[in-house]
Amino acid sequence: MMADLIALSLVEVAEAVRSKQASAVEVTEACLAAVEHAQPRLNCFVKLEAERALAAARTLDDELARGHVRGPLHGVPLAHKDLLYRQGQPITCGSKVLDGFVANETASSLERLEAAGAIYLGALNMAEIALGPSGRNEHVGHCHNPWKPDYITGGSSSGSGASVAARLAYGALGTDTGGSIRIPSAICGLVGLKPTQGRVTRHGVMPLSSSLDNLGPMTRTIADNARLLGVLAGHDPRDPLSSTEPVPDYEAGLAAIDMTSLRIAVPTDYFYDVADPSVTAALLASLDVYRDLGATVIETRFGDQERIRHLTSLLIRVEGASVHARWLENEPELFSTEIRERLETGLYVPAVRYLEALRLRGPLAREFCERMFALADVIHLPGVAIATPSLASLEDAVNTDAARINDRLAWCTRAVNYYGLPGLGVPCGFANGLPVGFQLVGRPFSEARLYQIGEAYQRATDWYRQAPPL
Amino acid sequence: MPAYDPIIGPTIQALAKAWYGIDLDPTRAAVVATELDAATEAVRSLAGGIDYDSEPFGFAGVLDALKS
Repeated sequence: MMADLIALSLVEVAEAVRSKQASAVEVTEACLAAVEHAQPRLNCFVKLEAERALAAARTLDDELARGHVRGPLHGVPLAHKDLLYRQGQPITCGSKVLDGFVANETASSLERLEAAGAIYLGALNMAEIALGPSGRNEHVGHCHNPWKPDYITGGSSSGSGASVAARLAYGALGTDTGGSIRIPSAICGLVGLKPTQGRVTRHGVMPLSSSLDNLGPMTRTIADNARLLGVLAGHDPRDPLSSTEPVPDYEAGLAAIDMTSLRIAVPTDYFYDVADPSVTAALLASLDVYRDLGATVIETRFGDQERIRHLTSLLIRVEGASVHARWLENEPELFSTEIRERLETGLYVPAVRYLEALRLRGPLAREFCERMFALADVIHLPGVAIATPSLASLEDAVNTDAARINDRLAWCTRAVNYYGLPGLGVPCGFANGLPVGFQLVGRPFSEARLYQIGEAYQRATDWYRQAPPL
Repeated sequence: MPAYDPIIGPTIQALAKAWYGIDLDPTRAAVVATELDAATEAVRSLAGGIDYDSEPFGFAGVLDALKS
């Protein structure tokens, strides 16, 4: 029974609870048992809230018995990256710098999920201060990939990727500043959405780079992801930068797409420059699926994305250094060497260069959208183009090699943050026994369209059904 | 490994010490200089010919204009 429950998708388990085929307590117990089994090998959780989760589940079962359904997540256990504030509770942000910090408010996103009936299982491992596409963490121990525990999960939302892939939770929140949702989604075999900048509130989220940070859902299926975004999206008065754009019903019409009129742009430059052949093969095969469904694939040059990657890095480093300046100056030993060195660079960037990088964002996003979306309806890119590194290979790498690997892990994701566009990661196969994923990038606020296009692929394939051998 | 420029390297080391009390060794100073060069080159080359017609922090408006 328990194994059957954790095999369900988020949407399926929500229906099972609502229809009283399973109780919220049973579902929560199944997740907790799975965590107990997997945690020693995967190190996904940094804090498990078993008693709190079971108490919440009992309350939800009582409410359901009285005929009250809180919302579309009633009785669904979730877990989240350890950078979301919860009043009266500590968070680590994967670091030592927040030792002793206790949040004095609760993140709007957590409130929205719990108002919709979600159960909070606990806080998940992540890269130190959310800076690091490998997901490694020297302070709390590395999170391990459930498909091959000797390999990285990708990051920075490492625990989010590993826990959902390992069937320990039905979904998780991650954050994405330069790829931190899409990279672990690709490497762990999940659907992961970096929403349009402003689509999801960031209130109560420990920042890294305020210009580029995004909060988004990581799930096993497209429909699961659409359900979570439907709960999360929408203006939040507590986050003035959140968008007032109306929120569509992301789940409605998931299958209602005419693929024969769909044009998909695929890059002939930059994005595949560092790709491993086995990864490329899986990505190209996903394009064949779209062709078979009737879509037109258009190969085109994307232009100077390498410089866009540099601008993204500049913004992350300056804004990250600003957030962490007091610790960099006074307690630098609290950071791992790798993270301290990456942040430090931001201290020396001239303000003029930083402002230029910010001001260029609008004109460059405009130029990119007008050029690309005149040609196609959606862009298809690798999620991660290189072969997934082992944990040992990064451990052994000298600094410059580690920096190069990190750079290449985020090779295909950073520009999407700079442009502020939505990017949806979709699993599409395996290379060397580890998942591979592509990302669909669309116009601002086109998440519903991206879900339709991802759903069409998912219905034609079964990658998303495959579970790691735990 | 990036080369240590005899002018830029010591300058960055001096600024690090003066502004933040940070002791940068020559290797780190060279890495920082290289990264600053890359960022500067990217800004300069991409800014060429662009008319800044949007507010510096008006990015939300840009997205709104591009949504359909």
